[in-house]
Amino acid sequence: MEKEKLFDTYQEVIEKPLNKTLKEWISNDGKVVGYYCSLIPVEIFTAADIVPYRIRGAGSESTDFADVYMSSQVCTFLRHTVNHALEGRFNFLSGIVAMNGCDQSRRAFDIWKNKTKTPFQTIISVPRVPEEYNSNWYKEELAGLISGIEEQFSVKITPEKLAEAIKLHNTVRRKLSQFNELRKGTFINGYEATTVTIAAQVMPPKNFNELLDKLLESLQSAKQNSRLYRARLVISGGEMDEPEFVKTIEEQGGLVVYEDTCFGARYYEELVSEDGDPLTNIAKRYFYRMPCARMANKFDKRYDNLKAVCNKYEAEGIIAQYLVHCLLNAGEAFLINMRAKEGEIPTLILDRECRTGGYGQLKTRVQAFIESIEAKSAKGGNR
Amino acid sequence: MAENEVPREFQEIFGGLNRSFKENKDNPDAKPVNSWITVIKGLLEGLPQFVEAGVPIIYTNLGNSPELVLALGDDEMEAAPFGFEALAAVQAWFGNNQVNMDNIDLVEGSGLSSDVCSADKLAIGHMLRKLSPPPAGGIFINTPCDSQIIGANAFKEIMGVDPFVVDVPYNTGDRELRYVAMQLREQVDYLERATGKKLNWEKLKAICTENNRMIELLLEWSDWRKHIPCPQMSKVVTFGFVLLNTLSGLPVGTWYASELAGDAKERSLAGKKATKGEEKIRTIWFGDPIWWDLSFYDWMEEELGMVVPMDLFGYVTTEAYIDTSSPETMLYTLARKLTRVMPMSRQLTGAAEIYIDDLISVVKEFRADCAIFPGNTGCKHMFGMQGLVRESLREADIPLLSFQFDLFDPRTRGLADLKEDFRRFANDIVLPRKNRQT
Repeated sequence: MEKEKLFDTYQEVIEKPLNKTLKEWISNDGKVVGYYCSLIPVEIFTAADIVPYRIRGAGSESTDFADVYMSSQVCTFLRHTVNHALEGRFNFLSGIVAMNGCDQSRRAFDIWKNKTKTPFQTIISVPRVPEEYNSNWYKEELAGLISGIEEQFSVKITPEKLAEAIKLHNTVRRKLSQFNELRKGTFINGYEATTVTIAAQVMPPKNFNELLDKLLESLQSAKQNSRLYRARLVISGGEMDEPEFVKTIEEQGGLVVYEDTCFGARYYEELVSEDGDPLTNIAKRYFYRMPCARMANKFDKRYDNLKAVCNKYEAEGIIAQYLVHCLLNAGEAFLINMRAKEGEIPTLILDRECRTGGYGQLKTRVQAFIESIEAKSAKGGNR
Repeated sequence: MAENEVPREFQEIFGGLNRSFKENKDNPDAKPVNSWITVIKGLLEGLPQFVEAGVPIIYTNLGNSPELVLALGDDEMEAAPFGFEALAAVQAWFGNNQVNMDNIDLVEGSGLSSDVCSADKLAIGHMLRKLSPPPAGGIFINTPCDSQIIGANAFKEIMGVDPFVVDVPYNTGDRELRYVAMQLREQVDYLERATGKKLNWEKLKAICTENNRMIELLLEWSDWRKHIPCPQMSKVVTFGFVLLNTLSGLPVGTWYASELAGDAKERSLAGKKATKGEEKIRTIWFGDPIWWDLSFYDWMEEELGMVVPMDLFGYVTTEAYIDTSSPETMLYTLARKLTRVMPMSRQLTGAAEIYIDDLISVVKEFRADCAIFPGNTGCKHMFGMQGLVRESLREADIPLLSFQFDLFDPRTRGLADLKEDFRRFANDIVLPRKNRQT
C-alpha cells in the first residue's frame, strides 16, 4: 500500500473515539478498557485479552457537559474526555482505569465514577517519587489492578499471559522506535509521526503492528523527502495528542523530530525486560522509565534526556508546550526556561488549549522562535 | 541594596506587625490576633539568629509538619524548620500585600504560569531573590496539591539542594499509612545526612507529646467555637494551617493554642460574640481564605452578621494525636497526621467524597446555615469537583456560595466584587431561607 494511503488509515483510527479496528474487535465479543496515563501498564490489559485504549477527546468539539461538573479552570484535555464520557461516546468501553496523575485527572475519575455507567472503574496510586524504597508500592498497586480485572472480567492473568503481552507490546515499541529513527532524516515529518504513535494507543496492538509493518516497508522504498524546513525542533510537555498542533508548527518552517510527551516517546521508548518475573519487569519499566513532570526531584534527569534527544536528532530548539491550567507541566516549562536563559537549548514556552483549532497566535510565536534560532545559528533561510 | 540593608519584604512585615499590635493591643476582641503577632515576631526574629549560629535550616512545604526536624540532635533546636510558603502568608496578614503582588509579577515574568498556587509562586520568588535562608535540606510532601511538586522541583533548581519528597497516595487506609510511615523512616536518614545530627527518639517523644497538648487545646477551642453565637472573631481560624505546619511540637504552638482556647472559652462564658450586632448567618468556609485582606472577615461580621465558626484551615480531628509508645507508632501516627489531618491534604488528595462528606459534617457540627466554596486559582482539585460539590450540597439542603479568587492576589477578584457576591448570597439566598424556616 502507498505511504499516503497508510497515513490516511492512521488518520481514520485517531479522529474519533471509536474506530474501525475497535468496532471489529468488539463485534467479535472483544473487550476494550480505557486508561488515562502512560504510567498505567498496557500489558496487564492485553494479558486479560482486553484491548488497552488510551483515553482522548478525539473529535470533541465542545466541553458543555463536562463544564457542568468541572470549572473552566480545569485543563481542556480532561474536559473533552469527560465530555465524551458524559455524552456516552465511550460507552463501548467495558472499563476505565485512572491514576492519581494530577489534581485534575483525579477529579475526572470522580466524574466517571459518579456520573457514568462504565462497568469497571478503578484508580491506582502511582508514586510521584520514583525511588527504590517506593517501588514495591507500585508493584502492589499493579497486583491490585490485576485482581480487579480478573474479578470483573472472569479471567486469569497468569505470568505466562503477562510474558506474552510483554513481547507483543515490546514489538510495538521496537517498531515505533524504528519508525521514529527515520526522523533523523526527512522521510517523515512530525505530523505523520504523531499520528502513527497516537494510533498505537487506540487500536488492538496486533492490528497496529501489521499496519506499521506495511508502513515501514513502504518507507524502505521511499526516498528522503525534499522537505524544506528552517529549524529542527523537539516538542516537550505532557498530554499532546493533536497532530494538527504539530502540523501548524511545521507549516511555519519547523520540522518536529521528537515528541518528549506522554503520547509520544514516553509511550514507546524503553522496553520491558523479557527475562524473569513478568510483573516485576513491568513494574520496573514503568516505575523507572524517563520521568514526567509529575515526578519529584527528577528534573535533572529529564533535562539531560532532552539535551541528549536534541543532540541525537540534531534539534536546534525545544517547544515546551503545556495545556492552560496544567500546573505540573507549567512548572516543568518554567525550569526548562531557566536552563534556556542560562544558555542551554533555545526554548519556546507555549501554553495552549486542547482542540480549539485556529492556531493564529501559535503561528506568530513559532515563526518568531524559528527566526530567533536562525539568527542565533546564523544559518538563515531555507535549507 | 547595601549589604546590611534589611530587604523591603522584612521591613514591611516588621513594620506591619508592630503597627497591628499597637492598633489592637487595647482591643479585647483582638486578643488571639495579638497573641499570633507575638508568635510570628518571635519566629521571624529567631530565624536570622539560627542562620548566624550555623543551625541547619530545613525547608518544609504546606502539607508538612515539623516534628522530625525538631527532634534532630540532643539539645533544643539543633535544626530549624522553615516553612517556605509562610513568609508570604505573614506578609499578607500583617505586612504589605503589594510586596507579595510585586513578587508574583516577578515570578510570572520569569515564566511561571499564573495558574500555579500563589503561595508557591511567592516561595519561588523569595528563593529567586535570595530572601530565603540557605538550606541544609528540604523535606517536601506531595500534598495538598500539584503546586507542591513545583515548589520541590524549583527548590532543587534554585537552591541546588536535593529535597526529600514524601509521596502520599490516593487512599488513606492502613496500607497507605504504613507506606507513608516507611518514607518517614527514609526521611529521618535524609535529615541526619543533611544536618549531621542524629534523630533523638526520646526528644521526638517529648515533641510529639507537646504536639498532643496543642491538638487537645485546638479541639477544645473548636468546641467553644461551636457555641451560638460564635464567641470569637472569624479570621483566626485561617491561621490554623500555619500553626500546624510550623509550630506543631513547639511550646510556642501549644501556648498559642491555649490562648485561642482560653479566649474562646472566656468570651463564650461571658456571652460575648464575634459579630458586633446580631449573629445572623453561620457559614463554613471550606477552602483557601482571603489572606490578602483579613479585614474582609471583619466586614462579613459587621455588615452581614455572618460569622465563620470553622474553616478548612482550622479544622482539626483527633487523628492528629501522635502515639508515643514507640518509634514505630510515632512514625505511623505522624503519617496519619500528614495524610488524614493536615488541612486540604486530608480533604483533597483522594476522592471528592472525602471533601464533600467533611464539609457536610462540619456544617452540621457547627450548626451552620450555609457553606462557602472558594476557588483559589491554584486549587485545581477543587475546580475539578465543583459540580459534584454543588449537587451534594443541594441534596443536603445547604446553600453554597462558590467563587473564584486568589489567596494572595486581589487582582484575580477584588474586594468590591467579593463583597457583592457575599451580600447577594446572604441577603437574597441565606437570610430569606432562614426566615422561611423560622
